[in-house]
Amino acid sequence: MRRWLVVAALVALGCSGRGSSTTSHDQLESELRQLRSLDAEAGLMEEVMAVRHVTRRFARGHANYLRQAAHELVQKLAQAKSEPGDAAALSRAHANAVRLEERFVALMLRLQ
Amino acid sequence: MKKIVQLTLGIMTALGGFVDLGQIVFTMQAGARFGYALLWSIVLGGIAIILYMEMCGRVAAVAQQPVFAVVRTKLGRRLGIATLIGSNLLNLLTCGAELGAVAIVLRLLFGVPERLALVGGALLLGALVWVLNFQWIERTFGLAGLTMIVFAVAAWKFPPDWGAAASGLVPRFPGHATKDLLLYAYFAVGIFSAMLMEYEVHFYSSGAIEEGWTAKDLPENSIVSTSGIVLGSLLTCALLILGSLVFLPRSIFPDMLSTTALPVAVPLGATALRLALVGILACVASAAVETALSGGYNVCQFFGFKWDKNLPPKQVPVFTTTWVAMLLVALALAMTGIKPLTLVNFSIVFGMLIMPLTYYPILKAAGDRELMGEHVTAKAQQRLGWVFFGIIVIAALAAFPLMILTHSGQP
Repeated sequence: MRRWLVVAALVALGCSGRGSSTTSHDQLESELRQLRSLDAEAGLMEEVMAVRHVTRRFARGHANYLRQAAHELVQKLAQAKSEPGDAAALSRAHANAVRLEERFVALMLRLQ
Repeated sequence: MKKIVQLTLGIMTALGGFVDLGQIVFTMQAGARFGYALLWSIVLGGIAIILYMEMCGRVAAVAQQPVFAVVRTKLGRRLGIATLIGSNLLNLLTCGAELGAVAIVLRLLFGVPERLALVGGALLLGALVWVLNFQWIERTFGLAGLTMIVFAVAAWKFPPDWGAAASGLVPRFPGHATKDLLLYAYFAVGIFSAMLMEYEVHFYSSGAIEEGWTAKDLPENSIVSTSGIVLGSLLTCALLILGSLVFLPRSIFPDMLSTTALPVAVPLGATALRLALVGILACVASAAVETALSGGYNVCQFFGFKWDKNLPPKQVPVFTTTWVAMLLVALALAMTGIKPLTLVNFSIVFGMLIMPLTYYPILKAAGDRELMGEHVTAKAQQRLGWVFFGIIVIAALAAFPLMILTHSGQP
């Protein structure tokens, strides 16, 4: 019984991708989508700020959460090892994530 | 007037019960990913919870038995204890997540540092529950939650494509890619599960007994359960519609609580944004209170200890100690720094796994002529109850594999 539980746990871990040290093509695609989503959200945030549709406190708080999310992505991509053929895409994604984090930091400074 | 005030039990149960952190973010994500295509899962979950909430209110009013007394008699001691442990673990996870969400909203509203907001928010909620009697708890949180209506106003203002929204009421698979199908199924199961979270029925049936319902109150039970759920379902639909109108065209996948308030700001501005934040605060605080109190109710009802929120804490020591302990342990969980959304993702899937063990005893008890006499469930309603129980079992079996295969719904 215990052996079955261990096998099930390993299968679950394998399926979730956490047992693997390289970032699969699908995972990289998922990180890229997350990056594009954060980038688009930065645009939306700037849009509503421009027409004063958000309070300053909300803007500051939300910008900080966005910066944290970008920072987590930067770290994740920095540690990721790509599959053959994905190295250039991974490095581009990392550079974009760094730029995005800087964009949020600039946004936070503007809101100080 | 008394009847209008009674509605607040249904409103608080629905708003804190399923328009909570998980549902708010989950539904907006579903709209952002699949447009209106998952509206049907809200309708399905709404019908299921109306059906079961009416049953457990009826059992409470007629047999004076809350959910966990029914669980003990219908499942037996061993399975009953397993259900009790599972339900209270679920309450703990959910309470921790909701407290984390309270802190986030307090920060967005008042600029308070998050840790301070977390501790302060939890202590304030604890003090409110300690001081207020049951009726005032439900009125305070139920009525404050009504500010969530601003989400419906924002959705109306855009306005949505009503024809496309209507077509979302019929299940349709999006595309043929396996990943899309799995994600679609994950969100359908997640929305359905979040609408049927167990603590809603624990809280509702305990509330019915706290309010002293008897067989005479059965018409009120039908009105209160239906109106609260219809309101909650409409607000949930508004969240999904906003996700589809604001996030889908921009390819934004909202996975932060703060992002979910933005769609209100787009058409309505800063005042509406404040109202939206107050509404979210009321819902997540209400969910934290419901889960903490449900923990106390469950233990006392299962083991036969005295429980009553309207009695002084000293007269109900086990009940008081349990809900206070639930709140404190949940606070400790939130203080570890685990993201509220990570906790709530697990709680939705875990909730689905143990859901059949909560809804089976209710279905059996409400259909038991010996227990319910003339108020036994009508045959057609009982059949419908079994159909929904079948759907609950299927969703329970699918929940965990779907969570693994979709990496908790990551697009």
